[in-house]
Amino acid sequence: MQLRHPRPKITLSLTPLIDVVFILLVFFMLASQFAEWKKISLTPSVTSGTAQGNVNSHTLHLLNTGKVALDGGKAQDVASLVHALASKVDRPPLHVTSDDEVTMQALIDVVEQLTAKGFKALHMRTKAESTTR
Amino acid sequence: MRPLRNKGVSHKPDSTLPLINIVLLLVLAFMMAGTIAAPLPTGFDPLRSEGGLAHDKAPEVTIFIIDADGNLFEDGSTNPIVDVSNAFSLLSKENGRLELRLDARIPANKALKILEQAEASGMTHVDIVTLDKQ
Repeated sequence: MQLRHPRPKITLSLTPLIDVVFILLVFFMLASQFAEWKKISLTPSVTSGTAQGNVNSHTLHLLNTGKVALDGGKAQDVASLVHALASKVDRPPLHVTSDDEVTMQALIDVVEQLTAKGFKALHMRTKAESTTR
Repeated sequence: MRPLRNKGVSHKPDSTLPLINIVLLLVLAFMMAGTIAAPLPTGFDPLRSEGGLAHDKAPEVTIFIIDADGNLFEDGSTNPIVDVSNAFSLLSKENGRLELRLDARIPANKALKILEQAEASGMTHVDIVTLDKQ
């Protein structure tokens, strides 16, 4: 007498697995972001800076034309002004102001050039502040 | 006459296992290398810089996005925050950290005013983050 029935041979279909894996792949391809955000150092307010009241500090004003003016002087190219400032022995604190149409990207570019030349004491000021003080 | 037989041709179906292996590896690569991020507002052009410090994103950090018009969005939201001061005040009461992602075209004065607003609300940890220029 036979007690056990022979087991039927089970064959697993791989098609659903492939479907799920493809859907996962498409999801991760669409939702993933590889760009890495980096923190930049920016001091927005002059009140928290050490430069307040410092007679050696200068004001760098970014103009709509893409040029910059130092302490209300004539407009110059950013690179040449940064080079001239960097040739000085000390690195005076700088207050950076800008015209209304100057974009944040332009400001960051100038700040980066100054930081690369060793200027650490940079203080951003809004137009209202710069005109009242 | 005997029927012709395809001698040497295998009738075994092609194995799909190598395909599955490759696709699984791709899935793993995307899972490991990428981070699932909330979509940015339409037309957002992020601020870019050459330098910057790679930072470890704290788990409790709140991300705000500021578009070219100066509208403030919470990360993943498409509705701008109406009461900006209140949002900053609430965050400062929770002693939270703030990460700001700015549009490159926002006027600098407008962006700095928002930063000052955050400072005035008592926020002590405000970071501006940028993407790499490359």
